Amino acid sequence: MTALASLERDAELMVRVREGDDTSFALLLNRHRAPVVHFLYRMVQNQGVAEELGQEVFLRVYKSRATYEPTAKFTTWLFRIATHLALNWLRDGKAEKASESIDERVDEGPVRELRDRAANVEQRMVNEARLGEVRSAIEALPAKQRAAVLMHKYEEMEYSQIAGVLGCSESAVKSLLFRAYETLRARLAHLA
Amino acid sequence: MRCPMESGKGAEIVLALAAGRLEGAERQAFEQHMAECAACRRMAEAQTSVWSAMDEWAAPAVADSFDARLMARVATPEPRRWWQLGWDFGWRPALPVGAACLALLGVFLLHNPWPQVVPPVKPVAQVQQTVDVDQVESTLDDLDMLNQLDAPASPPHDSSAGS
Repeated sequence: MTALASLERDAELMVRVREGDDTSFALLLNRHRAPVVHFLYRMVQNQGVAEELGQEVFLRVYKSRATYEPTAKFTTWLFRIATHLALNWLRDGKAEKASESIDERVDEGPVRELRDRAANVEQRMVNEARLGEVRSAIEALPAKQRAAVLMHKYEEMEYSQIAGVLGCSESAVKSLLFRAYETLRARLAHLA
Repeated sequence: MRCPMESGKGAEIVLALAAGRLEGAERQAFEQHMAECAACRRMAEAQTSVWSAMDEWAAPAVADSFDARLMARVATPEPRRWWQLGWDFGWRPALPVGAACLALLGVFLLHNPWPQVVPPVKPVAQVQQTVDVDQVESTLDDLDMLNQLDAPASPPHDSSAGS
């Protein structure tokens, strides 16, 4: 019921944006900024690029306001734009051109101060190595599998919604996810 | 409970269990099954391990300047493309007007077929110019010879007749 109310709220806000209410756009931005940018960050593994693509996502939403019809879920539409941009970015091979090194990428991660303060240096190094392996394993997945896994794991989307974002059937999404998790189980088995 | 691996539902149930989306009787039944089925237990443990490893990967916070940068881009009018400029300067009716002109031209051509082009005839003089001069001379000589043959033989001149 809460999820349904939330969906209706998003559509309602977007209809108001269509009618020229920029405050509603700011509200939508506030609700979806973090999930979209976090998803993009995990897709491209570069915070600067993720924010730039995130800007493009919301800019496209704003530009499309005049033609918006609340026929599909707002988040499905939003993540469809985000996924499309991320897949294009990865397809164009821009990931290889990104100037950031692996070390810089580790530094840009979240500040897990509370956990790290308690842990000693050795434990922290172990954690970082473990995190690096998770990131590498996810990065090695085919782009569409990666998108499906990230939406399933971190955005807690249902199969049907992921199917709506990726433009395929629900059974195709299940197949993508099962293969992706099978690969991850094999690659990360030693972390158990 | 029938082993989900055999029924083809194994991966889905294991994923749901690791994600915490398997609830109620279904969860209870699968947990009881795992106590007896080593394959399902191993797969569920591996998936739970992957799930918790992925939990450690938190994304960094979005920059504070994100909204301000976006709003600045939203406020900036997009530069118009050249065809949009033409469209704005009154070319909007050009399409129906053009279509009407084409229709009129079609009707006109239907009632007034295009005149057929007749290939030009070569002038006679031009044809004659191509006749060989030697051949003409030869023909004239032949005609002279024939004239001489047809002419009556003149009597021989008698100088003593008048005297």
